[in-house]
Amino acid sequence: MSGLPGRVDFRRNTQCVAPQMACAVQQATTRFLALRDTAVSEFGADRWQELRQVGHDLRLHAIENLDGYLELLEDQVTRAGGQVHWAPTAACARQIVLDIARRHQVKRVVKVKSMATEEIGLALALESAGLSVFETDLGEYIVQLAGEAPSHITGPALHMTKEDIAELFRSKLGASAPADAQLLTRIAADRLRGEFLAADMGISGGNFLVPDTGTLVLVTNEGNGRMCTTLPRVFVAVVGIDKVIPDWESLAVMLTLLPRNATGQKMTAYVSFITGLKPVEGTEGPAEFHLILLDNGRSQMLRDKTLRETLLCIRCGACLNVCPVYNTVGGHAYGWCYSGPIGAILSPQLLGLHAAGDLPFASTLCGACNDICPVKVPITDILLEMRQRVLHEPTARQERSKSTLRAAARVAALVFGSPRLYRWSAEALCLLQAPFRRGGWLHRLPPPLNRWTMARPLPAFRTDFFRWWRARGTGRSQQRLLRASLLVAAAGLVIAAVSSRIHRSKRQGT
Amino acid sequence: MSDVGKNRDADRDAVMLTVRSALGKRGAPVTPRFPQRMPTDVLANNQVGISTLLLEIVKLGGFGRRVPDTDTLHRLLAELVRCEGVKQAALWSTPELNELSLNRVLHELGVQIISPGAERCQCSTCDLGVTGVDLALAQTGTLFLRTSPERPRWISLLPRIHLAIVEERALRGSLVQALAELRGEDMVAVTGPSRTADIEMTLALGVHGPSVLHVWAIAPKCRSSPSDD
Ligand code: SF4
Repeated sequence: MSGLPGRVDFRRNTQCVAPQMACAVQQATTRFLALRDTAVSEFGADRWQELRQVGHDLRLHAIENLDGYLELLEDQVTRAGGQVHWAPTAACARQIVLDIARRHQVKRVVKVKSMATEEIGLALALESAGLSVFETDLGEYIVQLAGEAPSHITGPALHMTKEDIAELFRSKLGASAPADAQLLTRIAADRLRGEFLAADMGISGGNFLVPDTGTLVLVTNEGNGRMCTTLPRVFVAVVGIDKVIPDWESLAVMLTLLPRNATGQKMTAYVSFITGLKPVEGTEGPAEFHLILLDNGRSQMLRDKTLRETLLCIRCGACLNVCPVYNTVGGHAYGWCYSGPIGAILSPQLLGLHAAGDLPFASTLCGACNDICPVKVPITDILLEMRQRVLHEPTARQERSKSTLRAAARVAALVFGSPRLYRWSAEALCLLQAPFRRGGWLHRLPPPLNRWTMARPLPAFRTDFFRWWRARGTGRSQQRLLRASLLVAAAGLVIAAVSSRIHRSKRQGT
Repeated sequence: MSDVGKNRDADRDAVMLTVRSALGKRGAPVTPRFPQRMPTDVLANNQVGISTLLLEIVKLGGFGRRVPDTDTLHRLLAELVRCEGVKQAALWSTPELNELSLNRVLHELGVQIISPGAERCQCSTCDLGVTGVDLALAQTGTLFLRTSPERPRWISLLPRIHLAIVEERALRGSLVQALAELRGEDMVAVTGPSRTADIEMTLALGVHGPSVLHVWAIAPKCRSSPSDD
């Protein structure tokens, strides 16, 4: 559904997030994580860590030898009877699919959920060319009906309640059913069965490409991936060039990691191994298999040793589930099909810093994503690197670093850089807060700082640490030292917050 | 057509060129090899028994049974047909499956047999699909079904009920081992009935694929002593 966005304004987007979003998202992600934890502990935590390392190594090896593997892949897919196309850009990929559709006089297309097809805005392109396109993944079908964008990599409709969906089916499909997951699923599946039977062309993405046999591996739970490779006359797979893995043994590793980490399943209900997709005699299987290898900026990402590790990602969606930012704002705020931590590092690289330079800042750098990633993508390292780049990129900087912000940062650097200045300003803050202080709390601050106290009171700025500051040379117990340093850190945060609020209120004023 | 071909080559070269220059590669591309660093014990498992497989199937929402002999097999099939109201069925036509004479039993029960090469609309209304299992993984409850003219893909996909007949000798100890044997096959791995949790994370069985999965583990005796004929 989602086409290419213009500039992603993360902060503006977060303001449009419906209040019930965070609740629905957290319910779903908590469940995903609980299932994952069970699956991982059943597998054995140590074995799991060992396997993650292997997963990382083999993905990195594949990415670093991508040229050789791609060449082998092309040979083998062609030998097995498939047709390989290369798409340097999203526009090329769309054109290739349209050409194939035209050549076969395709009218109806069934589509399996895939990030690559979302990325190139394929459904929209096909629809505007006059074809009817049906998303067949249940979640994706629901968001398509609702005219919304998917909000999670593995659960596109997790932001909607079953009541929402029942209402949607009533208004769009004329099917009245109680808000029951099983019944609603049945309704959608019956509709889609008809679409599958009538479709001329099936489109999917792909989870892995194994070059030595030219095999495309497709992981699904509902069976729609299998439908696409069984019923329509033509089958097209749009797959990023980064999906290559070295060999079948590596495939065993990936198929052990992916389902457990994504949904806590030991294995997804269906794993299709598509090798050339030879038509089975006597049945109406697809007569043609087209594999479109999508670059769309991926090859450029290989240039930098740190950034190239973004390409290791196998789109399990687990980093979204643990991300405190994603859990608060949901997927739509990220402005494109990739959301959460992986979106924060991938979108700016695919769309350009001028378009998505906000996203690397949409993170607390807590590192939970690094720890859960099945292939050990060093997400926080990449986030930091991207932040650096945004600051050095002229077009992105214009947007981000206004002169007021820079001035505030300079003042903060000055204050933090000198103990005396630091102490003075801390004392000044203590004095300034006096009119607003009620006991240990600041209940209401004047504008522009009042947004901080709208939802909850702020703890008052404490003065205890001065005593510690004076006494710090005399050697106290460690515990005391620890408490005192915490207080200093808190003081620093308040100063930073104040300066940024001042800047922000100015920006809003202009 | 030649224009399309030319474009394709140009696109291919463009992608390859950027990939190679980004990776700093020079000279002719070599076929890479991932050094074998697989900790084998990480992927091995010792639970290879049929009972583990059946247990996993049940956990996944399917039905698992042990079938000691041909008579039981035929009786169970008759029961299944009656309970589920099966009107039409389709079967793989592999020699291993033919040997079990399920065709005949179904026919006697008045079930219409759909040929593997039937029109797709007819396939879609079929109630029961009976398949063999090429390899199975006990620990995850996974069944590997190869595709070939005798094993059409649709039989394990379109019917409402999927009955898979598995034998002990199909079991493998690990995914690595199973994939090593099936390397390069056109196939599907089935783990439980078709499922989704897209609506409020509530599990619902049977979306596009079968909602009911029966796995029957037949004893070698079922083969050695065909009941009659
Ligand atoms: S970055 Fe890692 S955790 Fe996040 S989606 Fe990709 S593979 Fe999963």
